[in-house]
Amino acid sequence: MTDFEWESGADGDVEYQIDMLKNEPDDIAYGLHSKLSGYIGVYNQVRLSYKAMATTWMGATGLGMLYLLSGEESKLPIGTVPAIALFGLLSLVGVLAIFYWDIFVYTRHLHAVYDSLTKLESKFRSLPNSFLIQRDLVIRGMSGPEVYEGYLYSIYASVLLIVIGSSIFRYFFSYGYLFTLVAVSVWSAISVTLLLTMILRARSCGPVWLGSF
Amino acid sequence: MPRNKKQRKIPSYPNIEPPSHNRDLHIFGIYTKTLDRISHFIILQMKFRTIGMTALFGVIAAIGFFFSSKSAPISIDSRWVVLVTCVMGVLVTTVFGLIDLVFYENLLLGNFIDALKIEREHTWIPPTHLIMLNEQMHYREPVKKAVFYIAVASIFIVVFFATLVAEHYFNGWVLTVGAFVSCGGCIAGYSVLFGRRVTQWSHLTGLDIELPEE
Repeated sequence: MTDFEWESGADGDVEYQIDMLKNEPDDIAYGLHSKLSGYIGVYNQVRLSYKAMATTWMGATGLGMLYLLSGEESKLPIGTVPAIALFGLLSLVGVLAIFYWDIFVYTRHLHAVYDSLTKLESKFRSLPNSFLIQRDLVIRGMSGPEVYEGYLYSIYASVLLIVIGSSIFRYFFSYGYLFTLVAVSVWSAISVTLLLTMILRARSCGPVWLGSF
Repeated sequence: MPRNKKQRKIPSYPNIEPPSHNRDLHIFGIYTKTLDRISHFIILQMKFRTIGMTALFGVIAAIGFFFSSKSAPISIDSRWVVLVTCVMGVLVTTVFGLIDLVFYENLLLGNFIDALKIEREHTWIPPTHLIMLNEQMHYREPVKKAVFYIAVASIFIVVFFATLVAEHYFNGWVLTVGAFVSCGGCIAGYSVLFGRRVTQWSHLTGLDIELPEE
């Protein structure tokens, strides 16, 4: 590889240099490695924006619930407590939809690119081993995919499930202990099932190279 | 020779032949540009969805405002305004979804298919998009992306029927149960129609590409 040097400034410091790629396998592999690394950056940027979208959604939900509690919604056809439960339930639908987008669509793409990069680094010894090292860290359990895949959404869903459960408890409390116990038990079972499903499905969208290692 | 106004003179572009000894380098350049275009449309979709979310927040805020005590006194019953706003919310969601998943998605898919072909023809390129297609079930992509828009439209449909039931437009338990069944039917029908419309234009549906041997 030939370096193309620029002369800049009196002291002649090289601010940047352009590596001339020749038609050699190592050069082209280096180019592919650089390009795919940037490709991963795009997917990370997109996934970050969806997490920001979910956070904004939760913020709007919180503001909406506080507004319901303020009593300003005087023309609401249903009571405040059922309205909060319904509002929380509909907000949960939105959080689950964003979770589905992030984990089931773009995380899978990301791991496909990771797979290609690890294969490329395994094949060409001249390349850095950054993605192979990342794979080793994941295998050793220092930072498993389940840590960063889906926990944020599970926490958001948990907050909404607790708020909805509290509203259900408050609403059925006036009907007696039996109704309250049944309603809260049913809702708790649904909540635990939903959270476990979210975490387990997020783990199943982990890197493909975990299974082949 | 006078030019006929109806006939545009099409300029001829010179044929640029890549050097034969740099064929792999040329393919590498094409592949990197394809990745750039895919990245461009992914980011475009992301920004478009952010705009769509902003519009949806506005519609939801409008529904909340009409139920509040501070809404302006207008001659039309606020409950009817809420029902119309719910319908508008479904329409806004549908329009954003169709633009995102039909228009932008096909632009994205064009470049994705191009990357697939390059990876299949040149085995020295990492089969990134082939892995996305085969192991990550990318052919179900448009339907998976439609889940968000179906979920948001379902929110407005539920609010619509909940308002009808709460305002006692459906009196009696039979009509109330009928309202809930109708709500579910509307959501199911919307899901089927929207999903079909989105996948109708998917060029990846049924695409069968095998991974190259290593």
